[in-house]
Amino acid sequence: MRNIIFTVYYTILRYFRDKKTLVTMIVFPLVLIFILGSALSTAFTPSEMGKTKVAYLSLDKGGFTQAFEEFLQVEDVEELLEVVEIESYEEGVSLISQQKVSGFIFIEEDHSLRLQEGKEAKVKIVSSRYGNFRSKVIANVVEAFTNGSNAIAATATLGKMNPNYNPGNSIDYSTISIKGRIPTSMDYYSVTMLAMIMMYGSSYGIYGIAQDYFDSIGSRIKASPIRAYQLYIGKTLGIVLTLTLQALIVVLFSKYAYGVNWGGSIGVIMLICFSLATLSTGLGVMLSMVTGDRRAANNISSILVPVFTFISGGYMPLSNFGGGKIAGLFDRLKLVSPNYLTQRAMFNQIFDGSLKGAEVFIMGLWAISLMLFLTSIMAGRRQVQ
Amino acid sequence: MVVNIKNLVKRYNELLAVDNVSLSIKEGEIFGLLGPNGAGKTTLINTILGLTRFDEGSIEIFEKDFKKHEYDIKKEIGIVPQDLAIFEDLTAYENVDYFGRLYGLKGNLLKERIEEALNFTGLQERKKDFPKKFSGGMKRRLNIACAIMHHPKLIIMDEPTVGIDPQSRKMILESVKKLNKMGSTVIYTSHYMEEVEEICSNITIIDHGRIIAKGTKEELKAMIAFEERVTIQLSAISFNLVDDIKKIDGVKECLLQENELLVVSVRGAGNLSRIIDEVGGKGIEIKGLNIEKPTLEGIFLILTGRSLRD
Ligand SMILES: Nc1ncnc2c1ncn2[C@@H]1O[C@H](COP(=O)(O)OP(=O)(O)OP(=O)(O)O)[C@@H](O)[C@H]1O
Ligand SMILES: [Mg+2]
Repeated sequence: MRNIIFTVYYTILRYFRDKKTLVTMIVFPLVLIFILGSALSTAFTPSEMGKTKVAYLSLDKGGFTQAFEEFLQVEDVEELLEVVEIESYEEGVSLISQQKVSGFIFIEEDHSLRLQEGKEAKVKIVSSRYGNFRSKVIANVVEAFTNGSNAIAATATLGKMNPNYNPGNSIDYSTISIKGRIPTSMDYYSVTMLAMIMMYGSSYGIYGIAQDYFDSIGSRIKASPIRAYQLYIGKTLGIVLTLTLQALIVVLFSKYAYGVNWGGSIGVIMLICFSLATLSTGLGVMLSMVTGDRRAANNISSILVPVFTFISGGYMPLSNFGGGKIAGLFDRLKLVSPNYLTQRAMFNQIFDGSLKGAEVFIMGLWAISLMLFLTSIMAGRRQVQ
Repeated sequence: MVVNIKNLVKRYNELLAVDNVSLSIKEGEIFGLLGPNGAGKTTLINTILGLTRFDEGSIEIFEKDFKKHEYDIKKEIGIVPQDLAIFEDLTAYENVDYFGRLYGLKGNLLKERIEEALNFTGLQERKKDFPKKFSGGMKRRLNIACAIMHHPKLIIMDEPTVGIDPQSRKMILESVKKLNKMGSTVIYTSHYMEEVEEICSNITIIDHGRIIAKGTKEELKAMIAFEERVTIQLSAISFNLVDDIKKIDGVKECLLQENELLVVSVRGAGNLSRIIDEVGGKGIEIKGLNIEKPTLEGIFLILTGRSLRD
């Protein structure tokens, strides 16, 4: 244990003394975030954050329900909401508490009737986490419709019903109204550039382990009575913590200097960073072990990282990039990109405020890490001459 | 026996780097391993340390099987690798601290030993500096400090003096002798004859992975000393001197150049006093006398037909 701890300590100490790399890992992403974030300052539309899942139940059989359900199928609305039709009120509440949906839209039995009678009728929106981005999306979609239908109701009463009324138009209004809640490009690039730079951190894994394995210092260390696993764990953990600390600096600086929205819990963000740091270190170690040649390993990683960044929309959002088949290909490709998993985990955490939404992606990161480390251990066994 | 190697063979693909080497190193020795570039010195050392696998033969260290007692054995060994093995981004003090911890030292003992090692190598005043500010010699000394702070029973030094100033070299050679006096057995590889000659009690010469000669310094020299050469500076010369000396038993050749007489005898002739008598008997004063000793350099030349540093 002592052996592992001092190895971790010296690893971190040495990396933080390396000013050149430190600039690359901290200053460089901060500059990129600033440039990309302000150059492309138009806000992202909510659809780029993925669809919001919502439970839906209407006990009303009247015209309102019919109109509302048509509205839900309008293309603009479909881009925002994934509607899950359910059977009972309890089911809706339980889906929310299990965090399977972000909200629940409920329409009472006499809704249409009350409207016709000119009485007050409200569509009920249930959400466990008020104020978060996704429940805001739901509220705004419903609001957009009810405003519209109120308008219809009003004009209908005056006998001037407009048959060309297009409820889709009112969505524009809702997009504007939730602007403050959706990520600005600064928020977006903070996440993607952080993911990218941490992936470039795989070169720590490549050179760090290579030094202890192949250089003369490696001979000296291997000739000493430290066990290989202690060295391996200490070194790896040291690199992972170095990357995580660097990420923390980027997160805190961008939060306070640029006002980037990192969501409610920096702790969860750091957990995601730690997971990605482990993966990227593992990637470096694996490449180094399998090729047995740092230059080759570094070349491979410097091709992989931009590719991962690109397909996961790190340089620019890729919703429907290239259209049709190409877009479909990217949609499948990005699932294997650690950047994508990280970005989804972070966006879900930041804009849903839920760890639940991030969990599956964090687990994905750890699964890939595990595979990488197992591969390197097997390669390491082979390599000793 | 500190190290006992039997019939060791190591191949790198086609290349036979260590060719059936057997040697044993006794406690308290400074064991010199001498050979030109590519002779297989480093390879041999690395197999001893378990850094390189070998194909045939056996290695015993401290009379234990290496595989079974790897970690116990490693604790008692200090290694000074041929290539500098120090962290450029750690200070001298931190370097020694790091390797001290690797060898399980801790607390006050660790601190004491770090100071001791730094003093020993003359780096005390520079302990807070980074090696990038060091001269080549200082780096070499730090390389040594990192290997000795745990007071190993066996210290292995692989060409610890390559490319450094004479002052540092002298200091290193002195420290090797000191370490040996303090109780460490030392394995010292080099391709510098003078060094090995100066400090080593036992010497093994290898070339192309094979042992070509081994023994004490004197034994080795005796092996190749086919003849003995004496030069005598004379106050005057006499006509019959050369002829008369040639008549002495064992003398093969006698030459006179100005005032200097060169006498070449067969090995072990034991005729030096008769030569001196002969000169004295002619009333000639001997102003100087020089017995040329065979050198290890000469041994290598004779055994391989090549000079050590080609
Ligand atoms: N990892 C390796 N793979 C292949 N060949 C090697 C390897 N290491 C050493 N050799 C070869 O083995 C032979 C012995 O090398 P070694 O380094 O042991 O020599 P050395 O006596 O230490 O030389 P030097 O004085 O230059 O340090 C050389 O021919 C060298 O090229
Ligand atoms: Mg060598």
